[in-house]
Amino acid sequence: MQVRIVILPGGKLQIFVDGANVSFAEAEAITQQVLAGLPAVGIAVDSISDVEMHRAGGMDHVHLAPQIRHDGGTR
Amino acid sequence: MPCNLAISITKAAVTDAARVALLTSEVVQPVLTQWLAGQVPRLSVSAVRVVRGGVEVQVMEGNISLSVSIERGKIRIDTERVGRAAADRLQTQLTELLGFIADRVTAQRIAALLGQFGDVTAQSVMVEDAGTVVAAQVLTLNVRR
Repeated sequence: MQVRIVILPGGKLQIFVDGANVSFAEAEAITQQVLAGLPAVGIAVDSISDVEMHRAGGMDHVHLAPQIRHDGGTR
Repeated sequence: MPCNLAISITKAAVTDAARVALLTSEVVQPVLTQWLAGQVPRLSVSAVRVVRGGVEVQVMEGNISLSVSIERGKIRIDTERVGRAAADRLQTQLTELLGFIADRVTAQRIAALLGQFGDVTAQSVMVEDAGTVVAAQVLTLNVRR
């Protein structure tokens, strides 16, 4: 399982979870674990969105520029 | 932008209070020193020093000197001997610098957290965010299962 956290200017975070044979429930669980651990390292967060099923479309999110996929390939 | 290249996505934002708390003297001092050293050649900067939980620096530009202090994210510039425009320009630059420092420390802290779950790699990248290309940091964790 791979967790990728993008830290944008201004402290905005986007958390992606992916991997072969990883269920959405597992992705949601690891996301919640990471979010729960942030205060312990001095990173308090708010404006936390739901954990969305990304493969069904999902909310707007960042892409590596120029046009590079999350998995590092190009499209 | 629709895409099918990950299983889940979640967004959050670090609180302003948490970002300010990351700007300790020990964190700000070395970055500020390096940044000031890279400014225009005619700028002369005395040593950045830690004072009362913040940092203070004397900047000499030509025959004008000004004092800058930064404490918990708040920037104070002595404008008595420098024009308002110059002080405002410096204020803007320092505000951007402090934001950059806060983002960098955020990444370091989160990397430490992720390290409890597995191997972590960090990259500085450019990303498209709502049609705008911005600099970002990416932490990638490969979870041991």
